[in-house]
Amino acid sequence: MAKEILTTQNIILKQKPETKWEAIERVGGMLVNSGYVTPKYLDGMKEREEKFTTYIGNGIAIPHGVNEYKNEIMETGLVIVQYPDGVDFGKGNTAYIVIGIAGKGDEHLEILTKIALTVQDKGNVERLRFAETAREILSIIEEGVM
Amino acid sequence: MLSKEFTINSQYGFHLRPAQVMVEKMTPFESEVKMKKEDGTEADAKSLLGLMSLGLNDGQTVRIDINGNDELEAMEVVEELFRTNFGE
Repeated sequence: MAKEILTTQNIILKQKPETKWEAIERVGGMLVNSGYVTPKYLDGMKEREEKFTTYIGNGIAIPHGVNEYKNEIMETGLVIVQYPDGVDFGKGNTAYIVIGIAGKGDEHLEILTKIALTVQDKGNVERLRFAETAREILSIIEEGVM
Repeated sequence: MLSKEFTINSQYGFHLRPAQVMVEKMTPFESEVKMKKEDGTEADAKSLLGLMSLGLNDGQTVRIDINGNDELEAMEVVEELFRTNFGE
């Protein structure tokens, strides 16, 4: 199930630091290029971040659109960008892993739950931050559940 | 200790936004606040990652346990949150 929603092609490693808005545009652009969302969905992602940060703690951010933009989602999908040097998400929060989410129904909730379980362990966050391959990232999420 | 059951009533489940509201509203309280699922798994209601890892969906029942000096006030806020569907 998880593999269909998140594939190794949609994981980018060793991205140089950039602003959180550039990071959101990057993951949003990846969601567009993979055919998960229309380009309009990016407006919904920015609106969401303006209202309430998508930084969830332990170095992880999960940008996604506000509910009003659900119609811009064609298929459920996730993309991941690894920033070993981090992206400043404000209020002293640095995200090392930025996960763009397009969730149509509730198919993405299972993998989100897995991610939340995995990154509660800061050791797993460090492994994700410095992983050398996309396959490694996938297996940390799949196996990292405590 | 106070204990009360609630039903998740959100078409989008209990993921990021309701969980963020829960953490934001519970953090100021001194009391320990736990959210428990029917299968026995539980999370600190002041931890966003903890709440997200419960993987709660619409229609599921949860138990909120609050223990501490300000448990009455904290439970009132929890009741208000569920009554208003976390402002959705």
